[in-house]
Amino acid sequence: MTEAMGYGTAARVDRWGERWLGVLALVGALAAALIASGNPYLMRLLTLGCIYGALALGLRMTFGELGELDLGYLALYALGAYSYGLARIHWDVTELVAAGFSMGLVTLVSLLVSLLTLRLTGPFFAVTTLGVLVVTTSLIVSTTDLTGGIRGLGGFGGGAGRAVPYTSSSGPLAWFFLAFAVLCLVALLTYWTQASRFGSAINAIRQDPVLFRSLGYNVTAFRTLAAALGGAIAGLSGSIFAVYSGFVSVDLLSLALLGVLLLIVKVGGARSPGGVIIGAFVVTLVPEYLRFVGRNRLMAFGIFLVLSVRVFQSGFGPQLGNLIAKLRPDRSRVRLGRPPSDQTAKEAAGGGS
Amino acid sequence: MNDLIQQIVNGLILGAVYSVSGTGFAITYGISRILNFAHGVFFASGGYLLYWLTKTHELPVLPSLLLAALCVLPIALVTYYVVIHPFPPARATAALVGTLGVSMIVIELLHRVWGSRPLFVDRIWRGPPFRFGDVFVARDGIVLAGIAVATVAAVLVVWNVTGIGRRLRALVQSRDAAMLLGINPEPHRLIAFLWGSGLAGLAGAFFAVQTVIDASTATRATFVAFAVVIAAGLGNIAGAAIVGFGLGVLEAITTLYVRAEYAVAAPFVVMIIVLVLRPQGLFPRKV
Repeated sequence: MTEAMGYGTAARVDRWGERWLGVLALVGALAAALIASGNPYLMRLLTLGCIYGALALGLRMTFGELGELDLGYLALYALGAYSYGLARIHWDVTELVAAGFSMGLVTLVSLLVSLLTLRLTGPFFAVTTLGVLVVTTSLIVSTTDLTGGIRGLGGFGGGAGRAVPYTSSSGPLAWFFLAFAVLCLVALLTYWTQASRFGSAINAIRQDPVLFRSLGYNVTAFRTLAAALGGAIAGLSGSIFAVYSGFVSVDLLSLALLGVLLLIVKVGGARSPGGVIIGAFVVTLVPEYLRFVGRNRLMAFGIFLVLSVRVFQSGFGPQLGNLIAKLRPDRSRVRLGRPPSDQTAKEAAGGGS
Repeated sequence: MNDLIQQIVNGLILGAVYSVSGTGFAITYGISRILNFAHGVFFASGGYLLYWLTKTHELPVLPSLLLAALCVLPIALVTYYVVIHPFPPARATAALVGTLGVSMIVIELLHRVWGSRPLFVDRIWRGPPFRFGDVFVARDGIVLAGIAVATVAAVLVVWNVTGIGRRLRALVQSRDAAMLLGINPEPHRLIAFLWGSGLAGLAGAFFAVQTVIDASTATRATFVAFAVVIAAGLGNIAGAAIVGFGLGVLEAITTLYVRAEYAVAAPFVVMIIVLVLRPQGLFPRKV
């Protein structure tokens, strides 16, 4: 079923080039921020780009690694942001404790929800998670006493005008460094996961769950763990967003934000973390500088979504990664001993698109 | 008790609309296996087009219902060739993301043309509601429920009896086996998509007469259609019709006993419970 979702046929990703692509993306973002540090508007966009990049890397855990589309991922993000704010308001804890609490809570919730939903695959999983999103929205809107309902929740400190927690600096650059640090952390986690035995395991599950089960492993357990890892990232991104904006509302669960997130992952390439990081900055920055977008944000993102699935069939990340891989010093080894599986993979990619 | 009966009656009338929309989605989904986010947009377009035909062009409401559904077809045709046609069933996720994009575009267009305030359409059958004991039934409710049931019945007849219905059922059951028997899936995918989208438009027109149509209609209609089809089971048209009625009643009862805010979430709660307890759907496939 996962194969039917269409990620078995995605372009082959060169791990080495992919990794350098991620490093280049992060260095590029940092350089852009240092150059643009005098422009608060651009700095805000770059900071949001970091947060959305981290969030998209979290969504990629299920979408890219498992091939399952989690449409309810924003529910975890919102849960992270709200639980951070509520912990700060009601328990009067420090920022770090609140963020830790929110990450733990979201990981736990994501683990429990995934135990239920990840028994399903393909479109059934996508719709069920969409249901999780709708139910969460209803819960937030109706529990006005706790969450402020439709008006949103504020008053837990933070906000881009104030000083970054645990420091005395309040400039846009300081906030960018906070978000950038989180993005780097999440990127490291992602690459570490990919390189680990756990990463190999979930990769194998995506390609052939039946074969994996036949080797004596528990497919659901591995899938659930991957989703929980994505949940932890959502909790972290949610708390960072909450502390950065100083205000959270049901806009965190909007269809428009879901569109932005899917666009990031589709444009960058679900299989390529480096592509996703670049995609996050492209999707956050480019629409702001296109004149026709203006008030037509939803329509513009719709058009970009349609274009992204038509033009970048598996995202530009894999292509860029393979381009960088050509710079690899010991490439002669690859050229001499081209394994037969390489040819098959290429045929599969050609036949599938 | 009277409140309950009243809400059940209201729910059945609402359910008639869901049932038409749900059957439409079951047809589209059964053939193409694509979660079509644009389904709710076709639904909302049907409602807005009915408003446009009856208010701007002052056509009578009853024939305009059909006309509005037909006007949805060009939108569906463009959608099909932009985001459904290029993708084989193996790339359903890409198509899903594409339909999400289309739905955003059309929602914004509808918003541009008709604004965000709720729109009302003229009644079909004027006069005070009928009264049965303490239960009131609006005249339009009877008309609409009647037309909706007739529509679903007609769809079921075409689906189960005619040649095109048989070919579509074969494709739902097994695409490969159907292709071996000489059925070309591509034109049937288009026919099923247009058929389902037309039904969505018709349901949207019914919905506009029965309540109001506004900016949130499209998203809600998509969600309900998803819930109906997933709960009913893949490719089960009759099951979708029954579940549609059930969800209408459920929504009305939720509004009465729980909270109006949860009415949107209620179909999904049912769907999630169904998926966990009976992953094959309430009515397992017997195409």
